[in-house]
Order: sequence, then C-alpha cells, then structure tokens
Amino acid sequence: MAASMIKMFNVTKVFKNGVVALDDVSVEVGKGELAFLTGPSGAGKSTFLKLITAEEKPTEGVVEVAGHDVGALRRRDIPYLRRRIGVVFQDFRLLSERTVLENVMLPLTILGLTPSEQRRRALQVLTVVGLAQRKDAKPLELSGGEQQRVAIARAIALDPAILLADEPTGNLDPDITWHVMKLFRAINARGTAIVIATHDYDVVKRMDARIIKILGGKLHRETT
Amino acid sequence: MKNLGFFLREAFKNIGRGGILTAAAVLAITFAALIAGIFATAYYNLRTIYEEVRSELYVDVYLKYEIDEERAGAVGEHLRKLPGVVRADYISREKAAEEFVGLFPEDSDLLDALGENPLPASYRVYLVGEEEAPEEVATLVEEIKAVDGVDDAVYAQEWLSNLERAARVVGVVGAAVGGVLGAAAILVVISTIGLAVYARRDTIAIMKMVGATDGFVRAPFVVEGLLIGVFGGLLALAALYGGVQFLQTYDVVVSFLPGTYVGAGLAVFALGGGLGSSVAVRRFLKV
Repeated sequence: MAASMIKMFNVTKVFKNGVVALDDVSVEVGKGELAFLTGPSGAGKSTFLKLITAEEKPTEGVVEVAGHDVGALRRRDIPYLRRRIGVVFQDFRLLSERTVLENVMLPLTILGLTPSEQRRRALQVLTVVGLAQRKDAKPLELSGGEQQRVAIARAIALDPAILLADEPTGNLDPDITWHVMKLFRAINARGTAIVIATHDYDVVKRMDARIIKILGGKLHRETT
Repeated sequence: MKNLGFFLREAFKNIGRGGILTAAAVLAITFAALIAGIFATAYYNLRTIYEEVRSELYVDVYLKYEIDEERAGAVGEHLRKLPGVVRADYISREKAAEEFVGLFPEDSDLLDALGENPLPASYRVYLVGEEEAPEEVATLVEEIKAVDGVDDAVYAQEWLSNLERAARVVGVVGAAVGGVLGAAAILVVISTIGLAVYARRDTIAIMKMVGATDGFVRAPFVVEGLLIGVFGGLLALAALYGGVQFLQTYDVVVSFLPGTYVGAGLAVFALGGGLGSSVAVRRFLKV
C-alpha cells in the first residue's frame, strides 16, 4: 500500500453518555485509495469520519491524518488540517443564500486567495463536476443531484489529500447516485484518497473498491 | 488584512438581516453614549471655564497704608521671589486713585471730598495658573499675607475651588453613569449578536468544516458589533451637537466636545461593540 493518509491504531471512542461508538478499531487508508465505510445506521461510521476531521478526539488509541496525530492537535491547528480534507454530506450543507459559485469559493476565501483566483479555481472545479453553467443559481434552485455535485466541487476546491463522504447518495435517485459515484472515481483517479460512508450495499457492490465494515463499533470485516 | 472586504460585506449583510434587533442595539448604544456625552459636555465646559479663569489668576496684594515707596519696592522684590509668582505689578496710591476714577467716573468727587487719597498702594501678583491647584494658591496667599508690609491679599479662591469641585463631581458621576449605561448597552449588543450568531450557526459549522479559523468566523460579527458601536456613537454625537446648537441659540455659553473627546468616545463604543460581539460569538465556535 502507498503511504498512509489515514491511520487508526486501536482507536476507541466513548462518548460522555457512556455510548461506545468505536471499540478498538485499527485501520489504514493509503494515499490515492478509495474505500467504502459500511455498516448499519448507528454502527459508528459518522464517528469514524468525525475522528478524521478532528470533530472528535479518540478516547483511546491514535488517529493519524496526513501525518498529524489528531488527538494531539491544538485547537488552533485544526482548521489547517481540515483544509487538507474535503467533506461531503448527505444533506449537502450548502449555504442557501449564496450562489453556487460563492459556495464553492468559500474554502478559497478562507484560504485568503485573491477574488479573481477564487473565481478561477471555483469555476475550474465546477467544470469538473459539470455545473459551470449553473454557477449563478442558488442551491435550492438545483436538483438534489446537482446540489450534491456543488458540495463535491466545494470539497475538492482546495485539492484535498483526503475526501470524506457521509452517506453522499442517501438523498439521491439511483441514476444520479451512479453519476455521483463516477465523479468520486474520477476524483480518486487524480490521487485523492476517498472514504465513502454508506449503508447502501447496492452502490458498494457495483463499485469495485475496498470495504471497511463496522458493526457495533467494531471493525467487522475488510475486503478489497 | 486580505479578507477585510469579505468581513465588511458579511458584517453589512448581517446588519441588514438583523433588522429591528440591530436597530435596538444601535439605539441602546446611542442612549448610553448620549447620557455619557451630556456629562462629558458639562465636564468639558466647566473645565474650560476653570482653566480660563486660572490662566489669568492674580492676587491683589494691598500694602499697609503708611508704607513709603522704598519699602513698597522691597515688598515687591519679596513677592516676585515667591514660588508660583510670575509677575508683580506695582500700583501706586496715585495710580489706584486714577483707576478708581476710571472705573467709577460718577463717583470721582468722592475722592475729592475726602481730601486725601484713601487708597493704599498695591501689587497685582500674577500666578502660574496652569500648574497651581487651588489649595496651593491658598497656601501662597497665606504666605503673601505674612510678608512684612502687606495688609491684605484678595483673590477669587472660593469661587474657583467650587468650580473645580463641580467639574470633578460631574466627571465622576458622568463616568459612573456612563459606565453603567455603557455596560447595559454592551449586554444588548451581546444578545443581539448572539441571536445573529445563533441564526447563522449552520453557516458557522460549514465554515469551520471547510477549514475556517475561529478568527475568520468571528471577524464579521466583531466588525458588525464595531459598526453598531460606531453608528450608536455617531447618532448620540449628532443629537448632542443638535442640543448644543439649540442651547447656543438661547445664548447659553456652551461649546461642543473637542475632537479628542469625540474620537475617544467613538473608539470606546466601537471597542465595546466589538468586544461584546466577540463574547457573543465565542460559544458557537466549538465545532
């Protein structure tokens, strides 16, 4: 396997209310790898992703992302880690009062690029997801599939080393699901490591990729 | 600051979205600033009068009636050597009589009737006005009174120290009232911005998800608070200016606050607004 982008060593996550979300999980995702994270709802998939984005810290064990020990990261360093990780959600999480272009520009604004550079790069990634012509629309004027593609464009705007997707096709029709999956494939082909959390086994079966299965917080099975 | 334009745009958008709440925050600041401004104006005007009077402060030192020119000269030398004395002008008995006639022309026959000039020679002693506190002036006057050949020394002590005390009371009361109202106004700003932040918590979460630092998320809200502070301050200044103009049409001798007061006031309210919103936004940053 190529150099690791995500490494988990004996990771346990226990929430304050005593719920054990992850129990002694060890797993690695290499540079440029595409993996599905599967398991029923409540299995710990979201916690798994939140540990990578430093929204949560492990109770035990070590989470390493792009060479950084997430548990040891200082609060003020977390934003810089997140700029290397693109995230896509089931509910898209677009800013409804801003245009498609402005949504995609947001991470570039945060990075402090000049307005013209922001525009140029945002248009570039919108072209990748095939929505450059809808750049002036507001998210709610778009279909679900289009909104998810905007979210994906935003997630890859900073050319992240890692792309995480939490049930990205949960709200989409099968046809559009397939379209979005092909998009992930294309992004993965450019060298971005991708972890897609889903409980949609049809999607997983159709894509020939590694599967990390979690059941009740434990690593259940891995297939490649 | 490369993102200043973005922060300003966001701040103005937030103000627009805030509507009536933002207006309430601005008015709260205006009210606090206006009350503080009224006290500041009163303080400033009292201080100005006080400084003006003090800068031309002099003590009339009356010499004993029987004293001759030579000894009068010696007293003058003595007076000029006292610390705090800038100048001592001799007014001879003849000159005093002339001044009397000049001041009260219709009573000039009064002096003639007396036959002999009843006025004593005196010195008008000028003091270093800016540096002398009223208590120090009082001590100096006592010293002058003790000089051999001096009959009495007179100056406007009571009035001056009363004026100084009044200015100080107005200053202290104004600072206290202004402080309390200012704190209340800042609480209003905190809750206003708090609601604005709450309404935008999803946006904040998204921004943090795509790698925004706490500072980046906070900045537009801080700018908004700052602008609320400045708007409120400006409204209060406009009202205060109008009030001063109004009084002046009724021939009240009152002047508007100088630039330093205006600048300091605006800075304080901008800072208050900015700090208030900084506090308000902090609890929403833990994403």
